Amino acid sequence: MRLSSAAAALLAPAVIGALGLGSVPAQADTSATAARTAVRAAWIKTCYDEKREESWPCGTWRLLLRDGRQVAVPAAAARGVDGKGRRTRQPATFAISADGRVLAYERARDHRLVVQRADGGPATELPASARPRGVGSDELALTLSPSGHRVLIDYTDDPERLRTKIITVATGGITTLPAVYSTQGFSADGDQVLATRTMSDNTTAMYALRPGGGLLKRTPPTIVVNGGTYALDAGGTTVGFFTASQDKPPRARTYDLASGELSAGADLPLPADVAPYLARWSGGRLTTTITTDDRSGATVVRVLTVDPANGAAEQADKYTINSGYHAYVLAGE
Amino acid sequence: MRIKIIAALTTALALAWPATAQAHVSGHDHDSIRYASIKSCPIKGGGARPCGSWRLVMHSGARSTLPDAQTLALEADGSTNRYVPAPIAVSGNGRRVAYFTKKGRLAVRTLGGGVRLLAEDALPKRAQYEVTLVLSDDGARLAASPRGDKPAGARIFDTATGEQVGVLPPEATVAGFSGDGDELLATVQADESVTELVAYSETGEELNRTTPPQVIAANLPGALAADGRTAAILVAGAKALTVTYDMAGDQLGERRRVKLPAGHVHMLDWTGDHELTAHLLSEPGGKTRMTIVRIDTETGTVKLRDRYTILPDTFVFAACGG
Repeated sequence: MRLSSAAAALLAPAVIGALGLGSVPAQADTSATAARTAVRAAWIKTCYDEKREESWPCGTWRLLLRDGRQVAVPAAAARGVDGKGRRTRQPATFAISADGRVLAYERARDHRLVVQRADGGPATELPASARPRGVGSDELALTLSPSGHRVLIDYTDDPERLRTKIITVATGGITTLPAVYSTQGFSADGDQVLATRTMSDNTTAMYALRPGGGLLKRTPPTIVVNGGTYALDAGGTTVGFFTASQDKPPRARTYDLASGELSAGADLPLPADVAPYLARWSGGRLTTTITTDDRSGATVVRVLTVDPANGAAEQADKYTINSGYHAYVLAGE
Repeated sequence: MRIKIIAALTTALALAWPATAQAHVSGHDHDSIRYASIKSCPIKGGGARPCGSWRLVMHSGARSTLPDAQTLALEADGSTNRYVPAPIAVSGNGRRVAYFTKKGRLAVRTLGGGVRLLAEDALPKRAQYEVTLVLSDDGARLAASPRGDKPAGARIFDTATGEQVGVLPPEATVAGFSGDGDELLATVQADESVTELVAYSETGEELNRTTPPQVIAANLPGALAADGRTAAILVAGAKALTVTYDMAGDQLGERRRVKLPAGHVHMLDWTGDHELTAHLLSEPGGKTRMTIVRIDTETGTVKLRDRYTILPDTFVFAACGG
């Protein structure tokens, strides 16, 4: 989730016309329709309290659909709760699967974590233990697998105490990861989790973990460890990532956890100061998201697919999150 | 010099020894400096700042001051910054000390000897706190690095003559001198967020440049051996180990487990063909304690060389090396 800057919070909220209220009606799920109704991102408006000189998220979470429509999600809490259940001025948890089909959020009435298809239907409650007692909304980091059938929850309050949970939505089955791992996201098929761990010699080891057993481990070169965003392929061996340089364009690289092979890397057709974000595999290509804040406080989001072998890039999507947001969440974030 | 800020609230030990050559207070010919320290004074309303003269604390326990040394750093325009000390460095053998004089000149003082002033324009104009000073183990060479917003290349000086012998490229951050003092180890921030390790001759010639494996990169600054190509790192803690690395061949040496006293690695130097000397810093019960050990890189044997507690009223200190 990204919060707007304080300056943006001072701007008058943008006027948003023709908002859909409630969910999109279920309809024949042709792939063309599916692509149009996929969720790009969700955002929530900002309100400003002059007396307290602070801003907070207000209204409801709104989905930005691929076809340009906006859909409100009134069932989702706007504001989070602290460890004692008191409402805070921070946004509540909200996540969207990378394919834009599935949402996870805190239910407005009781802050229970639920998962719901973006095109409507009943929400599935996650087990109550997904939110342990005393854990506030801002101490939860929730990620959906690319197709939304699994949820990964990291607890940021006390990593020594609360283990990361991986929950299969359909069954409510939970597996946990020891707190020594820092998770980096699901594999493309959602069956494995990429994780890093700081070792006693201060190196960072990288793991493809299969919840419930099995792992692939390697200590990669520094260039891999210092990459900012990683994607594990469906096979669970190839890590795609992006590197940034001071005066040169960002590069796409791959690292094989099984063989230790590092690809030569390919420059992206982007300026040097652009930081690729949200790496993920889609087919044999790597996807990345680039966000740029413009002067009005709006955020322009571009999604690129990249051939990691030669850097050839295509723009898969481009849209704007208007100024006046308090926070936004991108699909796959 | 590696600087360590200490929050110290105890009152001053107000004993200033006469300065200069009388550093030989104990009368031992071979007495040498353990560390230089500047006192901490409270600021009204909270916080602390450096105050008083630089104090030299000797191995014998004797103390002296450096009355000609600048204590509060001067800004580039010559005004005084009351909150940051001017830099100082002690050679590995504790016989020499480098600093800015009150007149703003770089100077190197030898225990029992004189002061060598470097040229007035030895360094580009910078705030003094942006300058890092490092002396070689024997004190024969000084590296002065103007860092800050506009980093300039480190200048290498012969401390006997005061002449500049070389300049490193501005992107190189000095990690330290080689064991014999005629090469330098430096790090360079390279493309794709990678740290390169570079060995330079004292004249600034690049000898070895490599992107080291994680275990080296994650434990820098490390130390460069007299051969100008063998780097070493030390990991402290319960699973302490030394790792050597041949920069010329990009080959990791053996990982050798060692048993170390408490503390994190403050400084590491090669002091022999198979010997590393480590300064370990720990903070038992609010004190700042330095433990210095010699490690045999062949056998892993660890021997205690020295152990002392930093003056409790210290704002900042600079320890000798090797």
